[in-house]
Amino acid sequence: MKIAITGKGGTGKTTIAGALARHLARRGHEVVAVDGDPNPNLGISLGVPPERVETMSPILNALLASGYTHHDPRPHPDELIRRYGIEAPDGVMLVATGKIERPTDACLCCGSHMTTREFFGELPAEDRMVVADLEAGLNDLIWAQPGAEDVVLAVAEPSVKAIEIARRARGIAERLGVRSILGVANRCAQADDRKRLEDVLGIEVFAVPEDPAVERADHLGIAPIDADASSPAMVAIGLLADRLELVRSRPERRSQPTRTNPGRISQALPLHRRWIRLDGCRRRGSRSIRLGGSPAALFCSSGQPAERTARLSTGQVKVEPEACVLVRPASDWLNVPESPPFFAPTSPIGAPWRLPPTLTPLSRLFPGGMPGRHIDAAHIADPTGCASDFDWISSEQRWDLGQCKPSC
Amino acid sequence: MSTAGSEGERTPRDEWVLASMARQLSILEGFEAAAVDQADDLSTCLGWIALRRQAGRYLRSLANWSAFGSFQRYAEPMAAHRSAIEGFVVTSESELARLDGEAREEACRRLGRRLAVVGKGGAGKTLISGTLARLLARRGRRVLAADLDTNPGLTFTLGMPDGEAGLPLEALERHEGAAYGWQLASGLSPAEAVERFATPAPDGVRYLGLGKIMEPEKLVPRRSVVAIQQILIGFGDPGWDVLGDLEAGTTTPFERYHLFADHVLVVVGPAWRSALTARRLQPLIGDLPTTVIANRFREEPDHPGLHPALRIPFDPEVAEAERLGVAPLDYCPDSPAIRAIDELAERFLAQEVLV
Repeated sequence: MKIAITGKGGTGKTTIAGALARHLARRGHEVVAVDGDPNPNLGISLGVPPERVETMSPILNALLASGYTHHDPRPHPDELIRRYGIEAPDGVMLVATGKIERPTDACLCCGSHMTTREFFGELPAEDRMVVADLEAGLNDLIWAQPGAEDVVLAVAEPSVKAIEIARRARGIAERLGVRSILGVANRCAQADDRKRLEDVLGIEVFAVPEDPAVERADHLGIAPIDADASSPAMVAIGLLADRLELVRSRPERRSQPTRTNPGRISQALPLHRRWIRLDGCRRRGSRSIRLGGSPAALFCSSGQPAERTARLSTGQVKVEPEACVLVRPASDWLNVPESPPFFAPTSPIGAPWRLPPTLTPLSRLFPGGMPGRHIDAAHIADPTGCASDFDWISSEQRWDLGQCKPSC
Repeated sequence: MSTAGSEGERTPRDEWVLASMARQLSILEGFEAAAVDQADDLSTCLGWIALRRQAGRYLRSLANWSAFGSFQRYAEPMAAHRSAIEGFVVTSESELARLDGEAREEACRRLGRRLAVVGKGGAGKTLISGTLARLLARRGRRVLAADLDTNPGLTFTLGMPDGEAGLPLEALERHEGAAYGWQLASGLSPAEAVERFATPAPDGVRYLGLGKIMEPEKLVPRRSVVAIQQILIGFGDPGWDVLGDLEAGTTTPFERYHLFADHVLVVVGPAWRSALTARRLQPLIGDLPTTVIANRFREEPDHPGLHPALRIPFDPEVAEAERLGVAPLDYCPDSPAIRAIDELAERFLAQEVLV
């Protein structure tokens, strides 16, 4: 899958691209991170040392230096990665398409946009994740020409200017035929920041909270994910990675949809409204729970106090067999528009944004990396030993979420 | 290598390059005539300074063209053009030398400042451009503010209603040889274009914008690019300050959108990569005098090698204004960041910032 990240300058495209690539790699994907900005600095957000970022050869610069001209056939993207890619932490491969260094680098300007276009277009992405960080503004989005199968992330911070550019990004991506467009509201500090972007874009929008840890890391020129992987923004981007895995396994992208495919719900409702109530899971003999192929977070709504419920939601402690369980995609944890009972008392989504102390980020829950397909006991760090009380484990049998009625 | 000398083998591009040179010379002649026409010493002085500056800009842009291999074919006409412009330099300088020193000093005070604002995305270019434009206008200056970004935001910080901007078709004409196929209508002088097509903004600022990218075809913003560059470079009225807010990053500085300016402001935010961008911008700006401005400053140490002439403090009220989409100058006129930009305007006029 190819993910193109666009938006106004300074809204956090690069920070999100870097953290997203690392999160995806930690979930076991082969990840190629493409720096499409002629002013490249994705390497920093990926955790590549700054001096290495400055000395790496972008594709076009290297090709031109070796005597290549625009008339020559370009090597295959995989060959270009092999030649000019550098390895970032977690095994992410980083390539930059071109860099403007001197005022007379005539071929490098539109040439670097063209290289982004060709590289992004031709790179095979069946079995890997390609995360492309584009130049500020919308010009590069048009150059990159993402297509139907690709994902476009329109990043905005809560300023009218940035939201307006995200709105146009969405329009352009639609016109290019992109089916999966997600908004990312970065630096959310106030309760309605996410909603404002969603209202303008009319599509699913993720919130990434404002996070002083990211600012500190940015000032020092180190990757925020290395500075503090558990800081709120990094956790939120991890959840965005979960959500993107969902896109990856979207039913229409599969050759053979399965009978128990949960696709109907996934498609029918915007993700953050996809609340599904499973009464007495155990009695109905569910074996594993998945939503659109992605791990789901379990929330218990048995009327217990909020904090306790939040703890239950991490799957660390037992869930009563008769309790009803709310299944929400894990990626929604930080994107709850209306306050569900377990969020309300501990975490009004407002400034300063903090994860409720009792909620465990998925990254901690799954220290070995998120399972790509479904949650399973082996993946869960379970200090209390209670997860096994909930019989949701093993086998190929799937809960047919398509049969459940959305409620709440 | 072929040259563009003989009539028969001219491409549209050749035609355009040669016509552009002719247009520049006719603009310079206009400046010269205006300078000669002035009655008092001060206006005469301003007129000759304007001609000198205009000639300097054209020489810079010529030097810029010469740096590219693709302009080798114009070596001959360009050499002739250069000596023609240098003629204007000599005339204006000798005329100025004859004028009274006091008049020259007063002229320098009144002379319009020309400023390009560059930096990484989110550094605060647009905040500074829009606010500075209005603060200058409030001091009685005539100010032209141009948004040289196809993701325009200057209307917000100027406090104007947002529109799609770009020049109307009547200001443009097709020319196959011009980049993107359009240029400023040939009957239209830059000064007339400003008079007729620059939109009034609060405090009397006039606004020009490239236009927004709305569709994958990018036609409208592309259409105005060459014309607006022609306007900005050629609009040398000594009574006007001209501010251009460039697109984030290195691409538009690489494309020399800043060539109209006498001075470049590089805006740097607290992030490390913002400083990296500033360093990368230096070689692209060339020998234009440069001032580094630190924005969203929170007592952090300066980035190595970058010494800000002014530090605009981090200011939650400005962030709130941007969140609401209103001009920070209207929303929080007394907030620390706006006060710092006010100081910038003051220093800008006192020529502390500007050489």
